[in-house]
Amino acid sequence: MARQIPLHGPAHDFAKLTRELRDIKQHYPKSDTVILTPETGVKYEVLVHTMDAAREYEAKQGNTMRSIGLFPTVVVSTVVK
Amino acid sequence: MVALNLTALMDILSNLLFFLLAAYAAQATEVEDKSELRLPVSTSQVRLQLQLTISITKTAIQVADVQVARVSKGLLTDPVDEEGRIPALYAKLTSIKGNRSQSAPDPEASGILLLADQDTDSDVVTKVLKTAGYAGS
Repeated sequence: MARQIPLHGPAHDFAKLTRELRDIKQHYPKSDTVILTPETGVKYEVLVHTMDAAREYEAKQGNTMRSIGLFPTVVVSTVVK
Repeated sequence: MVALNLTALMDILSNLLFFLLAAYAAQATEVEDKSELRLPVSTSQVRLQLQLTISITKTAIQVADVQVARVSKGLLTDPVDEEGRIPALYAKLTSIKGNRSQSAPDPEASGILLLADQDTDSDVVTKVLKTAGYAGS
């Protein structure tokens, strides 16, 4: 299950994160929770963008774009060493 | 004697009332703009609820605009206790929680609105959330 998403240039690749989570969602359609365990040094801005990437994605249905839910419930945790 | 035509005045007052109500609704979820607090951009469409606000600015952690801990370069400068809580924040939140439960117990009043500067270290965010959790907020 563990998947690494390398940086896209200097920034995190949130688009790829959403694609990976869409794939995982297909395997666990009833799950709506994601656990975030940020390392020290990760900025709050990255947390927010990660939550955005995990919440939903836009998909074309017919002639309109619709938001499809992924994992809207977020639990922020710390790494226990 | 000239009779006062109130119809036009009532029309103007109705229009003014509409704009006043619209402005009031917009103010309810307005986040105060501070130079010390640059919020990150989010795509979330969730409506904000008016509740206890904890702000993490570039220099401080504030509860309802009252400073309880210091922040420098995105990191907490005050020590945490053995449980990993921020002592002054914990004391403030438990005090507010106690006052609220005595005055008007309202289950919907629990919870916090966390505003953090985009450059805040996630370590500070998790410590604030942990402290709020311990305080039952």
